[in-house]
Amino acid sequence: MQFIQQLINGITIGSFYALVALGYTMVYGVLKLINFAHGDLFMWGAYLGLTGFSLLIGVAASGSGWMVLPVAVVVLVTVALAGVLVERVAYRPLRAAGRLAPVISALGVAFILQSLARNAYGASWRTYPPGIALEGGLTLAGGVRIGAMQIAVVAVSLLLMAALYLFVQRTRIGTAMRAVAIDPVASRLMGIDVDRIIAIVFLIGPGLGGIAGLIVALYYGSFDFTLGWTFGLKAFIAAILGGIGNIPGAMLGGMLLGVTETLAAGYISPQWKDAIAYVILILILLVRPTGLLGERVAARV
Amino acid sequence: MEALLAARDLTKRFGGLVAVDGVDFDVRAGEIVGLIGPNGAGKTTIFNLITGIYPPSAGTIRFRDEAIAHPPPSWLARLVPERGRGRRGDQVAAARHAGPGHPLRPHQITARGIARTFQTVHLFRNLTALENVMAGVHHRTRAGVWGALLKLRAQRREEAWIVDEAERALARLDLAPFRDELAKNLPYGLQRRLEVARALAAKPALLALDEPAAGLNEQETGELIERVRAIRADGITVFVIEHDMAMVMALCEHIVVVDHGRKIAEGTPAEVQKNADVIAAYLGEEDDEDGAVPDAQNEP
Amino acid sequence: MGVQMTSTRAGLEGIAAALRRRPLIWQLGLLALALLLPLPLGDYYRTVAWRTGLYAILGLSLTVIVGYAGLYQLGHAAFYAIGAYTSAILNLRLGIPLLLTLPASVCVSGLCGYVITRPILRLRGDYLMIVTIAFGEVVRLALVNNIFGLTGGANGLSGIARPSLGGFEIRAPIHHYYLMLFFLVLTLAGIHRLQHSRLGRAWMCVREDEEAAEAMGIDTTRVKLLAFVIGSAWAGLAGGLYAGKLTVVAPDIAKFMESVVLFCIVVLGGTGSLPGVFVGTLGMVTLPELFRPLRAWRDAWVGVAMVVMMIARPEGLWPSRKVQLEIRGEKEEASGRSAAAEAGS
Repeated sequence: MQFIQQLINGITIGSFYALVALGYTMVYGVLKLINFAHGDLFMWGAYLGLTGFSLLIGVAASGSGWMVLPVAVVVLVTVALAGVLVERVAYRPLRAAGRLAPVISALGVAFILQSLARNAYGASWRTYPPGIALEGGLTLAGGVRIGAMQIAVVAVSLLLMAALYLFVQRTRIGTAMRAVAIDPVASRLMGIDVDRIIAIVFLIGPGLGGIAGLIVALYYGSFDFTLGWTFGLKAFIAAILGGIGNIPGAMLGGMLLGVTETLAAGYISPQWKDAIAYVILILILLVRPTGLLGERVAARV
Repeated sequence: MEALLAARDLTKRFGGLVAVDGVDFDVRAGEIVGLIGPNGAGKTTIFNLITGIYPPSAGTIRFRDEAIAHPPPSWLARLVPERGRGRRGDQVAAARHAGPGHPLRPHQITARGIARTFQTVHLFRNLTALENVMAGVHHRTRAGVWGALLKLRAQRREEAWIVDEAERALARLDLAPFRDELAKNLPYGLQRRLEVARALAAKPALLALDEPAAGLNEQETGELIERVRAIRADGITVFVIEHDMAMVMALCEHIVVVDHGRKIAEGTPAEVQKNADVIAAYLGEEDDEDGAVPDAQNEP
Repeated sequence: MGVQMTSTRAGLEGIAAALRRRPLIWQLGLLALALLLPLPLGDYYRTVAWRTGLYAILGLSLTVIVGYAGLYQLGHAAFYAIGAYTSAILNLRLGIPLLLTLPASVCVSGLCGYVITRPILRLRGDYLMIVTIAFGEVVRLALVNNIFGLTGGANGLSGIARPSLGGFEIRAPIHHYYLMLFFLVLTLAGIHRLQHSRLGRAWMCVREDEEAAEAMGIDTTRVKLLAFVIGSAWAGLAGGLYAGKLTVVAPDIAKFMESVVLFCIVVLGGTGSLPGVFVGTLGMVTLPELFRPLRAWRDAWVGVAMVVMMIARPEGLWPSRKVQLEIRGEKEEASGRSAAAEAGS
């Protein structure tokens, strides 16, 4: 059944979008800033994974599944630190600078990251070494195929999202994050170290994005430096769809976008797949800008 | 005398909060009318309803026999694009029949002859006093894109006229020496005065002043009273929100009192002062000597 | 960043003040300079000069939207592309001479600007910006996907005729330069007049305090819409000129990077000021062209410039006085607020 197959593919892609969307939404929540550099941090996850695997293969002679774990850890830590660095250098000085300056700064960082990647890794498509990604899968009734990689990917994504959700809802730091998202000034008055919380947000958000980059590259096998841009914009749309600043919203938005996009590509036309995402964005902003789960903006009294 | 401005059953709800609840009042032409009440009573909300910042949930406001505020039509009707209700002069006749239509936007209400000042000063801070007042003249002129691009004779004459009018408005309130000062550099009292000058430049029939005496000392308040009387002498009706009781009693001929969104009294200063409900509403609020209620920054 | 009045600065300000009193002097001087500029240059540099002028026109068109009406338009390249493609299609399909297609490019771009903007004007600044990005991408995708069979797919359209004036074909870079210069001067004159007109004042007021502007009788929606339409229409004109010089149009001209470059030209050069647009163009377009070897790192340098500028001088290199006051004012207010918060209230 083609529909089920598309649905499965859609959920897979959706979980990628959701992971990346989380980064956008968390940063927007605490800083009210659209972190345009996030997609490029995600892309760096993919590239760093490439380097990581190449190094390990240099030692072990051939690719193998266990390599994922150490590389994932390295990618996570590196991209997370990069995220914190970006915040410190490019966003913190602009906290009081109005709405426009941080946006331009974010765009600037995006350019820097893209250019660095292009110069370091070249402009052509890069492929992950074989033997690392899971092969095989299940074939269900009606010819529907679920790849082992798909299961793994979705499982890991859901796990990470669940962990994040619990973190934000149940821990003190998570609560502090939510407080800062609602009112930074009041949070500061309540004794919350806002700078530290923001740094933590930039650890987690980009960190997740980096992991997502690794996973996406493993899943598709190859990519180039435009990965950050295309994926980033889609994930961003997912975050808006769910309600920017809203963590469950990002997850929901990601899934919805992934499924809708895949179904549209399957039933309407693959060419217009990307355009569908943008049309959804425009419609959402016109009809319900705060997104599906976002809070309604209070009416002015 | 015909009411210049008439509110009937005026109601405004914000979600669960009823800010204005079935208020009726008349403002007659040529009067100075005061709108008073404790903090949170709904006064600025009423002003916002008059000037079109949002539409009422129920009830109407009529100005010069035209319904300028009424509840918005069902969302279906709102999908139909507006039909040129903005252009001053045309379609006004159609509006007189008070049929359901799109709520008027503030600039349309200004074009119909109501101008206002705000509770917190809303000047164009980085523009000069003259430029601020020229903004008030804007709606009285016509020059558009083509006129600007081609620098037509008519447009140049209009520009000169705008500057003249603005300078006249400044002079009227003794602000001429500050013509080229940036609004944000003016002392607070002058800023308040500039806001009034700007509103007057729009040549309104009704001038709505929202707490014009807030933050002014006794001498400035006295000057303000004189200026408002002079404005009325020029034929402009004045509707004032104020907390300064001494000023209100001295200045206004007719007073409307609201509390918790409802009108609790209406009449001359003498009548209102003796009204038991009014006294009850103000009891429990701390007054200082001249009857002014502190905390004038809160929402009325 | 305190105020450092070095004697050089005081001297320069003195000269500037004197020039301000007699604008015609330096205007004619600049014009003469512009006319003479390409003569000693080789063809390559003449083309660089042409590109600079073209991007200046684009920057000016965007400054109306961003600088005057204060709307964050990050999809401006889309209108540039629409204009270019309109000229191309009219020329290729209907054989209309290029210069005569220019009015059509202006109108089509302007119309698209109107259609896009009307529904989104009530959106908050952030969201408006996002919609403009989305729209830019939709246009690019439409062009790539050969919409209505008109736009020729990923490779675009080629073989566009060069513009000709009464039989004289404009072929050499230097002739394109003078054609562009003509339109540049026209654009400057037009924008200057708009700035100092009733509409220009309305724009300033809407920027300063939209609620107050509306209360004073300014139809803020209409004013913002006008800015958008004028800016978009004029970008279309630039697109037409582009088509005439390159004789090829491809979907690449609508890509997000282009829109960002244009946006940076306006903001980094100096929001709301005309000289600022030129400074921005020199920085974002001319310099990278001149320093070819740095091509590979161009994006990185642009990125660094953007971050540094925002931290050091967010109002741009040559801002209009008003914007400078605005941005400094915002900073003071904001730091005042957080200082008050830190001190406890």
